[in-house]
Amino acid sequence: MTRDLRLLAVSSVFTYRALFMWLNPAAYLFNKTLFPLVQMSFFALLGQFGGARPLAFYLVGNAVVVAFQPMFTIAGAVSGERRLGTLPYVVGSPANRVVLFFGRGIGQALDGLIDLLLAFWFASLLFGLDLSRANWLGIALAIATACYGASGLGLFLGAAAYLVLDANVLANTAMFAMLLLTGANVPLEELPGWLVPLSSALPLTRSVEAARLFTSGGDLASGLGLLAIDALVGTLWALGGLALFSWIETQARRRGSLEGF
Amino acid sequence: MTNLLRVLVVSMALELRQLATSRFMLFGVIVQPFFVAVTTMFMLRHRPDFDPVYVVVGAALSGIWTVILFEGTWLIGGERGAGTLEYLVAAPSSFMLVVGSRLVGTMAFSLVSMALSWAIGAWLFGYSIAIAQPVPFLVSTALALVALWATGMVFAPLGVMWRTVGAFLSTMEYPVYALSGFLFPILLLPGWSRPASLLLPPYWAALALHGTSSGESLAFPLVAVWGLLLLSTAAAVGVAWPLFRLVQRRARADGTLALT
Repeated sequence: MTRDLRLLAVSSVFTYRALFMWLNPAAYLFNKTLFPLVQMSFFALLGQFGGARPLAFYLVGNAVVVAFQPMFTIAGAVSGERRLGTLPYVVGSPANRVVLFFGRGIGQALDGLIDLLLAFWFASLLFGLDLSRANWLGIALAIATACYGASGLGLFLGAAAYLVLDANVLANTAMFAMLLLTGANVPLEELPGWLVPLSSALPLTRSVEAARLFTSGGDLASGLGLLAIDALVGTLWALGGLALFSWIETQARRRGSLEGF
Repeated sequence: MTNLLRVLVVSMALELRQLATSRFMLFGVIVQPFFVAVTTMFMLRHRPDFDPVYVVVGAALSGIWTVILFEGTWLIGGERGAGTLEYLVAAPSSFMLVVGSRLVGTMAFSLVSMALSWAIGAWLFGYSIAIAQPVPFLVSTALALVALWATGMVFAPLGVMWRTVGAFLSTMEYPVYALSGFLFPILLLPGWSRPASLLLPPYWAALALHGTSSGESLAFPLVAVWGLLLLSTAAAVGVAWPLFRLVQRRARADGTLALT
């Protein structure tokens, strides 16, 4: 148990630190912090121009969607093992696979919390998002759940990238799906019926709704159920990623195709 | 002249071959404009004055800009990463011509997003997509492509010389969408951002394309918009020229380009 906890901590810290191999401070500031804020601003202004809902609807929705950031970095960290040639060592090690796999996400998920907090602060400071009646505990829980759910999806996408070879494209597709299907920009009731299952399968759909409730002063009980569903969806994505990773590992060992699966 | 044309054709062909196998660029030209167009259609269709042509044109411009921005910013860096930049700079062909020709190839590739945006409006949403002034629209499209190419030419040398600037430029996707009025008017932006819009060639490109596609009257006569579009394009090329000279100097004289 102690060894597993140590492995979890070491894996989380080193995966996060590895991010800085390619992500210098300027890239961190611009790509990881500025980009989500300009994306949020763009869609909020687009929503304001559309005029179907008040500006706060788009600000809160797009602030929650900023949770896509850890999804990117986690997907990249998992799939990066093969690109950097370290996958054989991971597969060959006697370490606990579950701990090793989930350890890839912890540091990035915690870092993602900063992005979400900044998004809400930015929405309030620049666009005047009214948080005077906000249920702060609820918003904090919504932020944490969104981060957790998106990180779970990131773990799945990282494993899936072993098959399709490009985590960046997968994560970008998931991000645009979130912008369209989670209710951040388009109310769910306006989506065609066949898109509803896809919307439900995304881990931010309920967090967006809960964050809107809490921003307008809703009590904790009204949104906890929504957040619980999103936490479950995120967990299912992460477990799906683990199952996929384990299957790929078994197949790769059997066929000797670890580097070219 | 024949040599120049040969460099243009060969560089364009090379660029098209590379882009056609780049998953990220295929994403940028197909998947991203698809999502942007569909999301924007849903968001703007409640406006009383909703015009689907506006979204089709705006989404197409956003797709073209995304591909030009990323390819422009990465193109020279890609040559450096492959270890071919010094050969390219030392070759008798003009370095700016080679990079410019490759970006012409990028422009041609990005036109896919234009067709895709039209298909989304016409087929997926079932709108009638009619261009109000077809001939001025075609002229505006040609000028707009040159304007976006010129903007990419400014970004190409900037992205390789200073990593911080390169990282900053890669976040310029949405700001240019917004500052250029691709999908909503710049009047929604704060007043202090207006000069930046007026300096950007894509702003004049979007103004000309939106005006000629919807038939709405513009704040300026169309000829004046085209004039300002050409002027800002020429200014962008004028800014790019010394930057390319600087890249060449750092590669050939100082030998420090690989160190940035």
